[in-house]
Amino acid sequence: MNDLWSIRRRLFASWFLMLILVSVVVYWSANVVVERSLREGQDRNLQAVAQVILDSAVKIDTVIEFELPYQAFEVLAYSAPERIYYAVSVDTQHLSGYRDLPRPEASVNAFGALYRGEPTRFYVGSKPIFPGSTERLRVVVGQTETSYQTESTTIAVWIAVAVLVAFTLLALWAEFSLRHALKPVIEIENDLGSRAAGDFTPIIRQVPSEVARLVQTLNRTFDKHRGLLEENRAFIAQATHQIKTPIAAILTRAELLEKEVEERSRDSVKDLIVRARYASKLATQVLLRATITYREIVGVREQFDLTTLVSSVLRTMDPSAEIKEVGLTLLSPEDTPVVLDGDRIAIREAITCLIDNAIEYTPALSDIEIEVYETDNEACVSVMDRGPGFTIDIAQLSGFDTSKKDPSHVGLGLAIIERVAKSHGGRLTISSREGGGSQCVLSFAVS
Amino acid sequence: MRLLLVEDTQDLAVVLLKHLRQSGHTVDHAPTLKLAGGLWSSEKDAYDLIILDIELPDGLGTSLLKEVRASDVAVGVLVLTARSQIEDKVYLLDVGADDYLTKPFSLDELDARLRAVKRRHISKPVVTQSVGPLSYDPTNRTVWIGSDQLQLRSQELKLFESLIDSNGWSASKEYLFDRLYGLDQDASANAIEVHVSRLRGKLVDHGLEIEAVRGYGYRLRYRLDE
Repeated sequence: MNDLWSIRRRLFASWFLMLILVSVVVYWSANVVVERSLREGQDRNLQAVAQVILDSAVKIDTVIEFELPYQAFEVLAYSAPERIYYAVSVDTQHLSGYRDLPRPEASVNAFGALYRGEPTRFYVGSKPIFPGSTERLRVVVGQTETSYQTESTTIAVWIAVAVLVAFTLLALWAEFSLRHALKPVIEIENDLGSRAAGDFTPIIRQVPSEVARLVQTLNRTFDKHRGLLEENRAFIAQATHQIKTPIAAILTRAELLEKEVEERSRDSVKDLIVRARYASKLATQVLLRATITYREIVGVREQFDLTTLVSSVLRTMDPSAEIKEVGLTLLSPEDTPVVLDGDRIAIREAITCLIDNAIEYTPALSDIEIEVYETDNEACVSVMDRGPGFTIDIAQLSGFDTSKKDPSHVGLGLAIIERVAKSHGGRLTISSREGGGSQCVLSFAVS
Repeated sequence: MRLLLVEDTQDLAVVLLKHLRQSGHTVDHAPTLKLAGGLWSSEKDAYDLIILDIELPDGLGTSLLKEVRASDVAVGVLVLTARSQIEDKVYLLDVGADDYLTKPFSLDELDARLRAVKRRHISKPVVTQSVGPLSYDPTNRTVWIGSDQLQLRSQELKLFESLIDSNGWSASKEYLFDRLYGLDQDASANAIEVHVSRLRGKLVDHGLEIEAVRGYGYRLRYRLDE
């Protein structure tokens, strides 16, 4: 799955886009609002100045006199360091000030225009020369607005920056909230990620209601898988039973026959016995593997004493060893417990396989020594025999070992042992013994 | 021994009956649970051991096993099962089976397990032969230390018997070899040494020693005799 599409990244991307969009809109809006506000203030100032000039104008005989309101101009100068222009006229007759001041395009009092290369705001005021006169005194007052525009841009930028900072803080908070909200999902992810392949035990943990349905769905799926596996296991058990019963009849009949047939036919009967045993062992190991897999999935665990378990296995296997006159010796004292937490039955079978293997390959009349001991973090069972040794790469054990040409050899046993060890955080190590034979150490992690 | 064989597979039952009878046992055969239950009820005390198949046409052999264990008769039960599911084996032992044998099996293994089960169900007899602190029961071929049975394998027991049967508890290697392996059985030259060593290990804690007699064989000796 592409990490780009993680929820966190998607949320971050949409949050970032929103931040950019909001910042642009805020900047633009602030710019417009501030500019309008400043312009209105400037217009009011210009209007006041124009009104003062108009108010001071009087017509004496044919001469129109007026005073320039220098104090008013100073007020404008205080408000911003701008150039100020004015013009006083009567109809088309210019009386004072700048002659080339622009005229408004429509009948408005305030307008902006580019004058002498600078954006400038103008205000036009007028009144009759005297009451009832048709002649009108007209006053135009202008002020450049460069600093107003700069000021409005600065204010807009500050507002946008404030919004950016606020949004960034919100984004950090959202990230924290998201992490906190996703924590149960991450814990479930870790739980699933740390599971062994085929571990379908239900997820048992307190989760928020939003995640509870997901967990329920996962657990239902796990249940279905377990059901399928159980069905498969039951089928394999039934199938092996059906196969093994007739093989039992063939094998025992062949063993009796071996004693009765003539010498020249004996080898054929012996071969028949070997192959019947092979088929039997194969069926047993296939079933065992299916069962071990199932138990691994179900996650059966209990606390038990490994020494007692090994001792019990040895009692069960003694008759098999006796047939071959092989000695089974437990070197560890039975009253020294080595406590282990795991699947007792699966571990019992793994140890049985290991000792069975040793009995099969060790020479008659030799001794197999078994030791149970504990290290700092492992409980171990060591099986030492005098057999021919192993040439198998343990790391490659996953199924049938086909390296042996002996038809009586079934190579699933070591793979089963290795699997049981791994499912208990342990391993199987095989080494050669001084004086011949091998030492197999089956270790399990002690929690 | 008198045995009750409960096995429904006709081919297998015929072979087992033949083998067990050839081995000198008296065997009754029941192919169904119902018949087996009838034989057990009527001849309870007669049987030394029951060989019990689990999958029977009219039910599971475990029901007979439970019935046997509910009675006060100490009889050994060896279960035959093709159900080699590991939980089944543990369950069988839990409900009272002395041992189980997964089908198919070799006749040698059947014999070995029958001997092991038989040994477990023999109570200490009144009349025994004393061998130092040990008691030997020639009827059941068992060795006792106090009220506990000393677990000896077949060859170890033969070796022990050979030594105590001999004059002065000493025997030659050739004699021991013949007793352990007979004339028609192959065994390596050091077989006797191996079994002597194993038996020595089991007797030494009880004050009994097996000494090598140069150029002759072995002698069993009780240390406190000195």
